[in-house]
Amino acid sequence: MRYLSYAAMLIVGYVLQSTLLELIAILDIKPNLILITVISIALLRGEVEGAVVGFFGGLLMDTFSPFIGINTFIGMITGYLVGLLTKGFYKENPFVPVSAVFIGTFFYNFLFYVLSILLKGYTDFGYFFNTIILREMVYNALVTLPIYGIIYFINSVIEVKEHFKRKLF
Amino acid sequence: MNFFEKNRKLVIILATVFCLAAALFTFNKVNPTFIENTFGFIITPIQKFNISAVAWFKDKADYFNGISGLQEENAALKSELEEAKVELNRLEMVEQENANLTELLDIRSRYSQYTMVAANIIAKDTGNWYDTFTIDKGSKDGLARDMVVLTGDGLVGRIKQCGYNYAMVTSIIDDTDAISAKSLRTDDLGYVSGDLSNKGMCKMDYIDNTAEITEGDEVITSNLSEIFPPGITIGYIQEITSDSSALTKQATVKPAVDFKHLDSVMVITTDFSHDYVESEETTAQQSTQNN
Repeated sequence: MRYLSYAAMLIVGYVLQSTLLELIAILDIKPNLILITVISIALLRGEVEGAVVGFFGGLLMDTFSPFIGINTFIGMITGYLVGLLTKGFYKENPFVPVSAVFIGTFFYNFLFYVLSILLKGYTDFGYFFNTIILREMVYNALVTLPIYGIIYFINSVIEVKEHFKRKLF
Repeated sequence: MNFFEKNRKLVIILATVFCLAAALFTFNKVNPTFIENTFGFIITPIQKFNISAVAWFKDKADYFNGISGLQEENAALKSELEEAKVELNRLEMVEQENANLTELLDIRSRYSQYTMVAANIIAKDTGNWYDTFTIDKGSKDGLARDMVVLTGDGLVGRIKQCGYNYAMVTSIIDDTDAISAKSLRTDDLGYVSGDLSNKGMCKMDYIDNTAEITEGDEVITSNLSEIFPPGITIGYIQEITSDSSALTKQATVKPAVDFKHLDSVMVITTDFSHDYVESEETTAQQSTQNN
C-alpha cells in the first residue's frame, strides 16, 4: 500500500515533469517534482524510506538520459541525508519542507555537477550555479508547499490505516 | 486745369519723356527704389490681411459648397482602397506561398536522396542539465540507433536509444556527441559538439589555425562521418577564438534549429553508413550537388 502509493507519486511526477512542465519553465529551468517528492517523503518518514524512494526516483530520471546511474546514486544520497538530518524537526511547520527542498536541491545539483559536469572539464562552477542551480533551487522551493501538502495528506491517511492494522494483529 | 488744357501737347510730351527716362534709368536696377520700398512697406500688411480675409471667405464658401463633392470623392476613394486591400492580401498570399514553396524545394533538393519519417516530440529530459528528448516513433516505424534527426532548418541530433514505439534523441546542443563538420564556404573541417558552459550553443573545435572562416559562415556536416550524412546544415558561426596553444581555432556555432520551440522532427531512415562504403563516389557527387 505504502510503496504502491510512492510508486504512483513518482510516476505521476515523472510524466508531468517530462511533458507539461516544459510549458511552465522559467528562464529555461523547470522544477524537479521527483526531487521534491523524494525530499518530502524523506522528511516525513526518515532516512531509510528516503533513500529507497530517492533511489527509484533517480532511476526514473535516468531512464531517458544518456546513461543510467548518476541520478539514482545522487537521489539515494539526498533522500538518506535529508531523512537523517531532519530528525526531530516539526514537520507541520511550512518553513521546514521549503528550506529542506531549497538546500536539498542545491546538494543534489552540486553532486550532479561534481560527478558529471566537472569531470567533463567544465570548471566554471559559477556559471552553472547562476544559470541552473540557483534558479532550480528557487523554483523548487516555490512549488514545494502544494506538493508537500498532498504527500503529507496521503501519508497521514496511510499511517492511520497502518495504525489500525497494527492494533488488530 | 487751365494749364493742362492750354498746354496739352507739352504735358503729353513731358510725361512721355519722363516715362522713357524712368524706364531707361530703372531698367537694370537690383534694389528697390526708395519709393517702391516705402510703398511696399505700407501696402504689404494690407495685402496680407486682404489675402487672408479672401482666403477665409473662400474657405467657408468651399466648405459649404464642397460637402456633396467630398462625399462623392470619399465614396470613390473608399472603393479604391477596398480594391487595393484585396490586391494587397492577394499579393501577401502569393508571397507566403512563394516562400513556402521555395523552402520545400530547398529541403527536397537538399535531402532528396534520403527517405524520412516524421515524428513528434513527446517528452523532454526531466533534469535541467541535459538536452535529450523522446519522439513518438520507434523500431516499429523502422527507426534504429544512430539514425539522424533533423528539421527543415537543419540538424537536430541522432537517436541514442531506440525502443519499440519511442526513440530517445540526443540533440547537438548536448555535449555527448561530436560531429565532424565543415564550413560551407571555405571547406574547413572541425568538430562540433554542444557547449554546456554556453547553453543552447555549440562549439566547433580543432579548426585549422590558417582557416579563413568568418562570423556568419554556414557550418554543415562533413562527408567524413559514418553517422551523419554530408551536407546537413548545423548552424552559423557566431564567434571565433584562437586556442591558447595557437595551433587551432575554436568557434561558437549558433544552431540553425530553434531548440526552444521544437515539436516535430524528421528522421532519416536510409542506412547511411553502409551506403557510404559501397558508393563513395555517388555520395561525393551528391554532396557537391548539395553544396
